[in-house]
Amino acid sequence: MDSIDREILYLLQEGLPLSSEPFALIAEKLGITPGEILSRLKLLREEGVIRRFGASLRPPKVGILANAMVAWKVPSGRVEAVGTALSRFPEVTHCYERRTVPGKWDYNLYTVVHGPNQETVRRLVARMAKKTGIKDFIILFSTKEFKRASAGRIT
Amino acid sequence: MVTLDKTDRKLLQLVQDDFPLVEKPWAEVAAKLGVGEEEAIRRVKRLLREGVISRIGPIIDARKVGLKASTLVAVKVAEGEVERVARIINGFKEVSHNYERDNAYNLWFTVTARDEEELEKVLKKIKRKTGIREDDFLELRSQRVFKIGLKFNFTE
Repeated sequence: MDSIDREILYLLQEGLPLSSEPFALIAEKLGITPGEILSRLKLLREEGVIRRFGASLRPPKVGILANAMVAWKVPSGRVEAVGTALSRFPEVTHCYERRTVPGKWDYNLYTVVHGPNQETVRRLVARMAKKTGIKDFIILFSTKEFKRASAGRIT
Repeated sequence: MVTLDKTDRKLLQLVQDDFPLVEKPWAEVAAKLGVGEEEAIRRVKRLLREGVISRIGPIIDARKVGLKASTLVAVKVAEGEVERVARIINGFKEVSHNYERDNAYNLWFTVTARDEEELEKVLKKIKRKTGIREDDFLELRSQRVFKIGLKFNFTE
């Protein structure tokens, strides 16, 4: 990744301009051709710098009103298997193993799940628990969104 | 909730999963939808205006651009203080997500920084600015990522 790549990503952070030839507008600002922008973007995607190129959506606007973080207490020898199994659920959008705070907070695996309402999310979590055999978990429904941005940023 | 017809749903699916990296992307999207380019752009504009789509562009992998340390923080905040504390936390560019959740630890946010040292500095600053006590502060450092990817199914 070089300085031109960074410039391209920086300019696109605001979102692609909505016109017939959006990459031409970016190219003009940087003094390169739209073709070069596109080949650089494809390379960045291949390298994994760009995880995905496309639309970010707001779930509540399309009827996905409930989101919960589910914290699981998984025996250390089973983290790999349980994390993999939970990630396979399409409703799981994030799955992380995290350090615990011993004696204060002992959950070590976290999944973010979405659904039309709290009831559907509870039913889904019950299926996840059954599938993995993990009985010790806590469902943390979000009651208010204060911020939702991309962790990957170019400054 | 925003009303979506069949074409809108197909459009959302396309621009979410498989945005064409070509000079005239909307012409290609339109062709797949069986509508004209102008109609495709008009529909996307509406979906952006209505807030269904927040942005179209690259989603960047934090680690690959040098942001290697990340953590989840949960704090206990008094009922009437949540808005004020959340606003202070939101002010940090290193904070990407911040939610109120139904637990004694009622505010949950993620922090991403260049390295452990920078992360520690940001956390210290957050504690100082919000006045959250050490006892009410849980830091759950990421150990391993199994999955990231907010994607939805619109067409079943």
